[in-house]
Amino acid sequence: MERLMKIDRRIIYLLGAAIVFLTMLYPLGLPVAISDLARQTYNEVENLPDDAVVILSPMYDSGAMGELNPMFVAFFRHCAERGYKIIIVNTQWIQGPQIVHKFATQIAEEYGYVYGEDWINLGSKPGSTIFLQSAVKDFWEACIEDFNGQPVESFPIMQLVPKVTAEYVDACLVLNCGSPGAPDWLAYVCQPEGIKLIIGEIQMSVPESMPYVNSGQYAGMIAGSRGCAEYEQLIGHPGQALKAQDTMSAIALMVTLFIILGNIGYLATRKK
Amino acid sequence: MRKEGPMIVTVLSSLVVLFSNYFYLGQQWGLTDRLDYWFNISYGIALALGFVNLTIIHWKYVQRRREGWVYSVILLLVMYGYLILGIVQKHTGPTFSWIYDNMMTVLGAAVFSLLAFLISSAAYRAFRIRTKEATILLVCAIFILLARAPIGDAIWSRWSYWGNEWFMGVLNTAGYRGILIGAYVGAFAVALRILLGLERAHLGGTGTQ
Amino acid sequence: MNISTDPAIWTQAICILAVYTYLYKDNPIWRLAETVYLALATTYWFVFYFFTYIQPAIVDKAIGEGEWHYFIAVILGLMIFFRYIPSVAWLARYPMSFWVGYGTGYILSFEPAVWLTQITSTFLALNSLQNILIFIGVLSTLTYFFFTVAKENPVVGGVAEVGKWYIMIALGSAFGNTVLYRWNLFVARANTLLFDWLGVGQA
Repeated sequence: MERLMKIDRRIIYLLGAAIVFLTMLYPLGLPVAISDLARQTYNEVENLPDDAVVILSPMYDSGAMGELNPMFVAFFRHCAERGYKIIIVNTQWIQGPQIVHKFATQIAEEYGYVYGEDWINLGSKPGSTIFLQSAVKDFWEACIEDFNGQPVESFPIMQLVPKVTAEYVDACLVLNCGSPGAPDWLAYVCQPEGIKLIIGEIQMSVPESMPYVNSGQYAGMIAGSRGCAEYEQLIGHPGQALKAQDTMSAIALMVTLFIILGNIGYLATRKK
Repeated sequence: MRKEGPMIVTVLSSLVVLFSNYFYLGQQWGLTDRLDYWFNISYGIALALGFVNLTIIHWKYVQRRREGWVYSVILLLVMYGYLILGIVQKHTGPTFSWIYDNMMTVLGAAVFSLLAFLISSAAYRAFRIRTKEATILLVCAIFILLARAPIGDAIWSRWSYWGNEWFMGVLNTAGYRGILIGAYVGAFAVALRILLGLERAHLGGTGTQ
Repeated sequence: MNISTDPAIWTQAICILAVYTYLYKDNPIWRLAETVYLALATTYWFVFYFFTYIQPAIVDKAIGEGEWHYFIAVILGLMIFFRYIPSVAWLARYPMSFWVGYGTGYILSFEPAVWLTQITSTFLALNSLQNILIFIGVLSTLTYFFFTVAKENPVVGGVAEVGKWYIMIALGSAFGNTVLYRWNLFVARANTLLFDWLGVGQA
C-alpha cells in the first residue's frame, strides 16, 4: 500500500503523454453537451447589429495560445459570417496580434474580407490600462500605425472608429489570460463607455471570471477549452477545441485516479 | 529633491488624473489627453530595461566565469544577433518572423505546457485528505475536473449541468466574489496610500511610512 | 507515417522536444532551449515596440507633424536608464514616480465602479435559492477575511467557518480547471508533433 504513494513521477509523465497521444490518434467520440453560458455567448455575438464594428483583442502570448487560438478562430469566423467589421488590437501582450495574424488572414480570405476595409490588425501597443483610456479618447492617436507600419487613418475601417466608445464600437471580444486583460477592458473601456464585453477565458481563470458573468459585466464568456468546443458546435465549424475534448476526458480520469491512489496509500499508512 | 521631488511627481500625476476624471473642468481642459501618450511612449521605451539588464548581468557572469557562463555567452550572442536582424529587417522581415513563428512562440508554448506534467505529479504526491477542509477541496476539484470534460456527462448525464450551472455559477461565484472584493478593496487602499504619499516602495529604500 | 520535410516543422519539433527533456531531468539541452527562448523573447519586445510605436511617434508625430511634446515622453522614458550611472541614479526615480502616480490615479478613477457593481450584484432579492446562496457566500467569505475581529465570537466564528467552506469550493474548482488548462497546452504541442511533424493520422 505504501508503494501506491511512491510511484515515480516520470511514470506519471509517460502515462499522461501516452494517453494524450492515444486519444488524439483514436478519438473516443464522446458528445459535448452545450451549456447555457455557451448559448448565451453565441447569442450575444449573433444578435449584434448587421453593420457592427467589433474589437477583437488577443490579450495573450505564446504561453496560452494552445487554448486561446481556437477561441480567436471561432470568434473571428463567427464575426466574419455575420459580416461585422473586425479590429484586432491589444496592449502589452506583444505576441498576441502576431500569433493570430495568420489565422485572421486565412479566415478573411475564405469570407472575401479585405484588409483595411473589413478587418485590420493594429498590433500590440504599450501602455497597458493607460493605452485603453487613450483609445477611448482618440483611437487613431493612441495606435499611430497598424501591424505592418501603415498610418491607421489611411484605412477605411478606421474611419468608422475615431474613438472606442459605444457610438462607434458595438462589442469588445477580449481573449484573456492574465493582466492586463478583460477586467482592464471592463474597467477602462467597456463599463464606463457602455460597450458590450464578451470574453474568451483560459480554463484556469474561469472560476475567477464567473462573478463578472453573474453580475452581467461580461455579457458572455467562452469558458476554456470546453466552452470553445461548445461554441464551435454552435457556429457549425468544429475545430481544435472540440477535437481535444476526448483527450481532456481521459486526462481528467487519469488525474482523478492518481489522486485517489495517492490517498488510498496515505490512508492505509496512516492507519498503521 | 532626491526623494521629495519624485514623491511630488507621484502625487501630482495622480491628482491630475483624478481631477480630469471627476471634475467637469478637468474634462474640459483635457489634461490627460497629452499625458496619456507620454505614459505610453515612455513606458514603451522603458521596456528596453529588460534587454539592458540581461546584458549587464550576463556579461558579469561571463567575465567572472560563473558556473554556466557558456549559456550566458549563448544568450548574449542570440540576443544581439536577433537584435541586428531585427534592425536590418524590422519586425515583419522574413527571417526575423520565421525565427519568431518557429522558435520563439513554440519554445514559449512548450515551456508553459511543462506545467501539465508537474501539476499532475504534484497533485498525486501532495493532495492528501488530512483535514476536512482538504477533503472538501479535493472532492470539489475532482467534481469540477470531471464536470469540465465530457467524461462527466458519460458517467452521469447531469454532471456538467450541476458542475457548470450550480457549482461554478453559484457556489464558486460566491466564494470568488468575496475574494475579488477583498482584493479590490486592498488595491484601492494601496492606491490611496500612494496618493497620500505614504507608500514609497516605488522610490526604492525601505518602502512605507 | 509521413514525416515532414519542412525545415520550419522540424525546427518546431526540435524546440518542443528540447524543452520536454526537462521532464527526465535538468540537462544541457533544456538549458540551451531555455536560454534561447529568453534571448529571443527579450529582443523581440524591444524590436517590435521600437518599430511599431516609438519610431513612428518620433519620426511621424514629433518631427513629421511637429508635435514636439512627444520628445518629452522620449526623454522621460530614457531617464530610467540613469539607474546604471551611480552618481545620477536618483534621476531614474522621476519616470517611475510618474508611471506609478499616473497609474494610481486611473485605478482610483475607474476600478471602484467594477467592484461596486460586484457588491450591488450580491444584494439581490432573496427570492431564489441561487440568490440566497450567493448572498450568504459573499458575506461569509468577506467575514473570513476580517482578521481584526476575534473569531472566538460564536456569530463571527460561525459565519467565517461558512466562508471558509465557500473558499475551499472556489479553490477546489480553480485546481480542477487549472489541471485541464495545463494539459490542453500540451495537447496543442502534441498536435504539432503527431500531425505536423510525424504525419501520423489526421489533425
